Amino acid sequence: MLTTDVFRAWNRAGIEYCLWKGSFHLQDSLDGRSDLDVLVDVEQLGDAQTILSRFGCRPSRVAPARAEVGVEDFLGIEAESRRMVHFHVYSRLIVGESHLDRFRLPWERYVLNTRTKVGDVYVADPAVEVALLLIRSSLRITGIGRFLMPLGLVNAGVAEQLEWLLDKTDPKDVLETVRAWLLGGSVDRALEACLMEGPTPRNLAALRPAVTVALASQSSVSGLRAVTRRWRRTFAWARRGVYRRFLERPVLLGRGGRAGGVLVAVIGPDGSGKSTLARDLRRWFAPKLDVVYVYMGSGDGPSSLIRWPMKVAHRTILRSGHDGNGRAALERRHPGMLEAAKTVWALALAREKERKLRKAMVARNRGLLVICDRYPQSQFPGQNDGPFLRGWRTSPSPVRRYLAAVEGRPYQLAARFVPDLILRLNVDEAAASTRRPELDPGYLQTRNELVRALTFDGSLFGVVDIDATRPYARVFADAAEAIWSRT
Amino acid sequence: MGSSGNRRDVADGSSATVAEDIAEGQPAVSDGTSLGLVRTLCATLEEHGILYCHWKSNWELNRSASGDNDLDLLVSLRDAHRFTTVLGQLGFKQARGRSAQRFPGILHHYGLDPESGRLVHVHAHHHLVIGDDMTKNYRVPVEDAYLGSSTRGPLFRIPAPEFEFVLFVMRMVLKHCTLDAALSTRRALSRSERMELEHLTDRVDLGRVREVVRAHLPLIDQALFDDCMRSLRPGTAPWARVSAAHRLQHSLAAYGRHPQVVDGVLRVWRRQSKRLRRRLLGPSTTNTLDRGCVIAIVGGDGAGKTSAVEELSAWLAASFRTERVHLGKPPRSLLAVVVRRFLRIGRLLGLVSGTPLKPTSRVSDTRDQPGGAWLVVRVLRARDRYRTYLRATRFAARGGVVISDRYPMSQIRLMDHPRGTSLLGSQGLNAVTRSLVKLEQRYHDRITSPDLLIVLKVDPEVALRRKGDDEPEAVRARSAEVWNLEWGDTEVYIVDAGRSKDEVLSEIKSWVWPRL
Repeated sequence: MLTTDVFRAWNRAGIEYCLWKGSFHLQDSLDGRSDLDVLVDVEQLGDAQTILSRFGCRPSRVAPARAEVGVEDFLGIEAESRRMVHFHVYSRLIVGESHLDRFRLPWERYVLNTRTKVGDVYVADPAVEVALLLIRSSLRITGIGRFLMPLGLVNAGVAEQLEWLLDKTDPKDVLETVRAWLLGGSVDRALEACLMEGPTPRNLAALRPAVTVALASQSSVSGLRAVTRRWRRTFAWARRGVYRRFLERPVLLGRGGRAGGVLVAVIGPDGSGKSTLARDLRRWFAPKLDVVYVYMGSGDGPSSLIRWPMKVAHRTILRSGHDGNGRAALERRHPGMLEAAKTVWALALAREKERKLRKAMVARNRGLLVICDRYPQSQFPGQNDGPFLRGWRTSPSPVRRYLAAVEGRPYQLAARFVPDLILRLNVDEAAASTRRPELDPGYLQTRNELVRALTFDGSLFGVVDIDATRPYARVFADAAEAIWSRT
Repeated sequence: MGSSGNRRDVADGSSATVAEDIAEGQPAVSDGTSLGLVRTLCATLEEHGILYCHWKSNWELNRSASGDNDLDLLVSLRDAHRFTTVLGQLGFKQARGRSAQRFPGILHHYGLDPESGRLVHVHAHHHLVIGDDMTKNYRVPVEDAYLGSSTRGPLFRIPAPEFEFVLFVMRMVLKHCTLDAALSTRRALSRSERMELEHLTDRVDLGRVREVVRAHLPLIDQALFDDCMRSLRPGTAPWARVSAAHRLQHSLAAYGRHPQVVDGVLRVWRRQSKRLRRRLLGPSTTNTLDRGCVIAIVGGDGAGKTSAVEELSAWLAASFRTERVHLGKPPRSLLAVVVRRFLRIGRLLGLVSGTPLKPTSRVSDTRDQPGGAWLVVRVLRARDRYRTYLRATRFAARGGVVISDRYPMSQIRLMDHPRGTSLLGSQGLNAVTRSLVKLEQRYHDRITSPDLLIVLKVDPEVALRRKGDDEPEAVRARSAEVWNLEWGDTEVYIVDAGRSKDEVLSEIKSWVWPRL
């Protein structure tokens, strides 16, 4: 397992570290189901990071609205479970209200000196962890937090964790620890109430002023500045949530690759599972990295408002007439109409592709991971995301030539901005026919050959061929690994 | 970025060297001036097969090699992680700038060259990001071709001059020819930029330059690039320069992070905010090492604390946000100034007693008890000390480095210690005196240990020689206290301060750097 391998390597290298919170969820953290908060001796930070890199863990670039002094984020992939493991590597113990860890606890040495070993992993001494847990929980009881706690929106599971930790330590040891940190006084009394009566909102609210006064000298910001900063960060957090769920925007508000953005295109013939894979990749990376998903095709994916009525009309026409052959019937009755409709469709699609391409470029340049479902190509006009009106470029009609030029713009742009990485899903004809029985086998074969013939000169990481006839889990694993190793 | 440090004095005679280098058409690097760390870095990158090149300001490679200039390294994105690992192994630390100055694909690393004690600043560019210094809006995706054209020089890998020239022209036009630049003092190229332009112009074949533009920058047509080159020549009409910059920005729109208008607004806003900040707070670097730190230097009189603090502070302040504080003699607050004035008047009128508590006083003897004014001054000093400490820790909590001259430590009793506490055991203290003593003690109790504690130990006799003008008894007592002190479990680095200043400083720097 990646996590235990890292910790064993750290143990062998004599690195002083400990998990300073969340030992209640230790197994979940080791399995990659929750993040790992590790305090590392600042002198050995470089060595610890080198070992993390050796195990394929990558540092990430954190957006300014989320970055904290003294913490670095490392992400890695757990090979067996295919989970993304998140190490928060702390060189300073920092705590604070939600979205703003503004207090530094100058007890790193104490925490490291008193650590205990559980299996292969060092964790904070239970008494230390209880003290830290209560300090952290009390700081989150700001104004509204007191009312949100009973709803489970703040400090969820604190009582459970405290009970579990108190089984391993004596409350007197916790008080001793707090005294050793020179907090004492009113903190002592309020802490005692939390330990005896439980971490109720009332007890934590009573502890908060004592803690903030005791830690006043260790705060990076205070007063109105702290309030405005916290609200600004909360707003950025909410904005990220909205962008992630409803309104994808190319703005880095969470995390991105340390070395900058990467543009990935998923291509393949019909039935290879491009869209499923692209969407799943976005879903898989999104909890940890800021990802932008762009559908570059003309089929069932998201389309612009201009093209949407055309899609509806197209579907209606296809289904109409005898035997559902509405298209042929229309072509017989109004021979010019279909061509006009095709022109409007091609121009609308080109405009949509240009807009999406620009969004993808901006997102990559801002440091986000961009996953494109298909990618415009101009090597094979009229097919497979290629331009429809290419043939008009040599037409005697200046209007047609102009329209062809207008339509060709995004395809030229796409040829200049080659994706950094191309994931090409390969399926044989038999598999494609099984997956898309409604399509003609000859047509599928042509599309397959066409995709294989596509070239992407100038791509940074080039084309990674993935055999998509294998079980989907393996295809996904290969695709995720291909992206991760280059992010 | 790097270009800001490109200026070079005529007086140092280096222009002659450059002229010779230009004449020979060779990159200016000589092994005599290069730092050991830079040589090791280049050798290690070659050894690991990491594709990189020193991508700009190559006419002044000597300055990069000697650590006078930043190292602007373009590193292939494919090798980004191996590169970071190599830097980590060589003891480099990653720094970060202000949020507005963090551009995707550009990372800052600092390393200590142990021989010279200099910090080497590596700008690792994984993307070729160009534009005005405030926004660096455009990522030009020609990294592969740029790196592909590079050849190994005596020290660094350097790109083909044609590639360097094309990027230089674009950088300068975006920096000096935009409308806001034309309306400000930034419209002219600096002396070093003009020299770099001359140097590159002499070395490139214009036919090959056009070929590079045509093959790798299809968004820029040849006529526009010619106009950009013309706009850098002296005497070009301002409107022609602005027009060239506008057209260039328009052509590069697809490479930008922000639209042209937003970029314009952002750079004006950021530049004016920076100017205002500098005016209000003075010039300072904005980089931090990602984890703040309070370094305290303590020692007896004559140990060289102030010199060590000054040198250490100057060394770090050149690269990181650094603040120097004096916890021995903290700056007086307004309250302290006002109260002290009143006390002085009171003493002159004989209303209050200012008798100090002598270190040798017997507190049981009521005649040795200090005056009220002295105690009030002690409390005010403790309060000021605590306020200074508060400012220092807050600065460190935001990622800055604080270097403190002296620091209240429980072990050191003759300096920066709450002296009134010795009175607590005595009989006959009135309530006011007792509360003042306790207040002084409370301020000191709130001051926690520094992150790094350096003790300069010097033989009391040497201290006495160094501090010949001061009261010999006091100097000897204070030095002897630190000299004889046992630190027990306290984490402390003890430096023999009896040696030369350079030796002491070198030792302090080598100890501090890995712990930052």
